[in-house]
Amino acid sequence: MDAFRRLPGVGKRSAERLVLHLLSAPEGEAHQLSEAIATARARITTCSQCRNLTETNPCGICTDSRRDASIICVVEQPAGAMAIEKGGMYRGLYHVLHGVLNPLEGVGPTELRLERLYTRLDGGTVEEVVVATNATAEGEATALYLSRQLGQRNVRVTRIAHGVPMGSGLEFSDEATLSHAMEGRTPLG
Amino acid sequence: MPQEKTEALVLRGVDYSETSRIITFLSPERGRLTCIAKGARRKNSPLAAILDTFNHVELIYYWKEGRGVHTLAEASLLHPFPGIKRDLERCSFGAVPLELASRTAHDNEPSRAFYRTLLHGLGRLEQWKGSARLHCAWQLARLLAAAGFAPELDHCVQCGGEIGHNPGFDLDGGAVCGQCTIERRCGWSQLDALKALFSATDQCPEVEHVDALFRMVRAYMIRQTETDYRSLRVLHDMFGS
Repeated sequence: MDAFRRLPGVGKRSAERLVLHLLSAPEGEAHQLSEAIATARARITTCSQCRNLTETNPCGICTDSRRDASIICVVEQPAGAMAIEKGGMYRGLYHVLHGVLNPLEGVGPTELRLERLYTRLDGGTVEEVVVATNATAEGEATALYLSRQLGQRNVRVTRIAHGVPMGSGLEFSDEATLSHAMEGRTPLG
Repeated sequence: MPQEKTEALVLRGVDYSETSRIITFLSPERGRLTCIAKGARRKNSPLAAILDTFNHVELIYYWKEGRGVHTLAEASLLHPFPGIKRDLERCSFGAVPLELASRTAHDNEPSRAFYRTLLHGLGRLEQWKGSARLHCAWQLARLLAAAGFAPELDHCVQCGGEIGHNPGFDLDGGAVCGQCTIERRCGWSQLDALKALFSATDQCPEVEHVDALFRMVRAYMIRQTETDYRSLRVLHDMFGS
């Protein structure tokens, strides 16, 4: 039970339920689960190019010739790349920072290992970098820092838009999001 | 559990569990106040944007005596300081006063002057057109003074006499006269600029020796509060010393 409780979102009761389920299920099911966890740990690594999680190195996205190699989207975490992939609209490459600049937590450019991103840009094929860090003070700081650093490398640096979620009413949006959305308004037609 | 309402500044936040965040605030009545914001990381939760670092907010929380982390009931945004967040220097240097506040303010202890000083300083930083490094030095000087760490700058901290010529600055207390022993001398113009920083209550004064002043205030803060500041290491990484 202690092993399960170490997992995020699993409390005492959930751990108890999971353990009881595994004990009452056929023996093979428990073995299958433990093997799957061990295999995932052994196989999944970070891509040497984009630092996304992958089973093959370089990852499937970096090696896919159908993708647009002239655009790199910079995200904070692998979950960000997964979310954009789910959207299905983006066909470029990614770069995962595994964090954001956060002076209060002691995370600076060194910890983000930005040299890997710079090396990719030095190849000359990248024309645009889309900074898709979160809309937080730390995400904004990271975007500003990247914009300054990448500006010297002759690439177009863009920031994803922030605003009201699709299908949501204005009355359900918070003040900060609304003011951001209002400032980032675009002309119609 | 009684509910309390206060205004506060968001000093920092860390993720907790799948959906929550633990936020550290500076409030006038309760000093450093730590609350769990349940569900703040859920999709569509308005709390995520409201509880962003630097934000000036109004909180309603459940207070329980003897507890280190209280439960946030509601939060609304008073001012998000967009002028700080959209400028790399301002938001990076602005993090140092937040870290000073988070490390020196005490839990459950009224910190009205300290709170007002930080809030006023952030408001000024938002409008500031000059060097963010200088503004940071001013904010740190004002916060140190509000926390009771103001240096003695009118008389020698070693002999109590007049400062005279060839003054120095002792990180243990303040100005040192030409006759007393000190490792490094700072000169009158730097000492005058330091005095201006510590005495300017309304806004950051336009003074010279920005880099030297920042280094002096930074070293004085580290010595007086006996703390290493992570934000200073990151600043060094980003902008050099």
